[in-house]
Amino acid sequence: MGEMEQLRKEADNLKDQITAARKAMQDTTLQEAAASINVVGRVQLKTRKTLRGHLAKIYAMHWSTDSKLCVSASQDGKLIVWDSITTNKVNAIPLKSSWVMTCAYAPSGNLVACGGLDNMCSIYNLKGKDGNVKVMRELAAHTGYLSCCRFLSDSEIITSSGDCTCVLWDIETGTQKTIFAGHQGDCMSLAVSPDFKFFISGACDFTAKLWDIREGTCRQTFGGHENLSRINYILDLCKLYDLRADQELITYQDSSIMCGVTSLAPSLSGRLLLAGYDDFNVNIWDTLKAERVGVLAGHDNRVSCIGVSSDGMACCTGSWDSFLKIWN
Amino acid sequence: MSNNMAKIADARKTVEQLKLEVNIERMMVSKAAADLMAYCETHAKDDPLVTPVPSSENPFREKKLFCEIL
Repeated sequence: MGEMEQLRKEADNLKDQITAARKAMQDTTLQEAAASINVVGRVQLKTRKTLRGHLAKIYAMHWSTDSKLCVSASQDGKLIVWDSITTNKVNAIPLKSSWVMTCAYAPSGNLVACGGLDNMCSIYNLKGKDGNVKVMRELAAHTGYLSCCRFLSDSEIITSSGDCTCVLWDIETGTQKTIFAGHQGDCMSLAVSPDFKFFISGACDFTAKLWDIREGTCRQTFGGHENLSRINYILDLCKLYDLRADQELITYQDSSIMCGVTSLAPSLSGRLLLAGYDDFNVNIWDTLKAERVGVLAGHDNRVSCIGVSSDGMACCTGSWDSFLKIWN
Repeated sequence: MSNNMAKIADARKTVEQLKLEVNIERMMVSKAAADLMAYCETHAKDDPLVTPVPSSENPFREKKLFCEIL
């Protein structure tokens, strides 16, 4: 037997062992365990603000940790920092490349980042001395599009790329500190754990991987569905995976929903899952019962991005209709 | 030839990675589910989207403005 054949057999054997180990943990299902609790009451959120100003499809948004400011990226070639309460534009940053796919706000509030088909992650300093917002760094090394980026601090950022890797960058030096390789398809999204020790990446190889940031290693792999273009730390597409049980707990689906999910965000307690869909709506799910408890209708095109502020007070949706809406 | 070697190197890496993933500690679903439910329960009252706050405490609600004639 050739070595390749042997390795393939070994891999299959190990995969079977993982499947068996996961099955051994299934003394119940989340459905059964949650049978004793009631579905959360109907959630009716209203549009409180509409952020108008972009001239083309919005592809990404991210809240600042202050729960007031947020940044959005549009293929009109602009990053806009908004005061979500007054709806004022705090900054309108023109981009070198209009093909932007992602944006991020640093936890400190000092920096924002974006990237897309230019294969780079550009870092902007919002608090420059002369008041002008300038490019601080251009992180270039990915050989594919930048699909997502998230700051760990003002000195480190993680990016995911169509080149199948994720990278931890040193912003100061503009160099790659760690390359997270292992996905067999375009990495589409990433989410960092609240303690900044781990992140999860979702990719077009139908898997999501949990990475140890400092070790640079992949700890766990979850998989088995069509395409992972949007993930969140506790939720994956429209399935909920538990990291400690190392498996899927429940799927969020409804026979009346025929379209794809573009974006997800959990509410502060995790009890609600807000998911943006291709049919221009956001569906609100009871995370534990997997029942739909609300709908946000108001956009005139696909909801491309969604985020709940750190204090849980509001949800922001961004759409291909060029508007952002704040709901609660 | 080197393409084959690259494929074998990849396959070896895959096997090594799978070995790491087999050996992790796993928790029973009942415990994981119970922890999830307990977390949601504890934090529900502080979750403004689950337990709505009064309008006066909602920064996104329009505040009534009063005009002063100076």
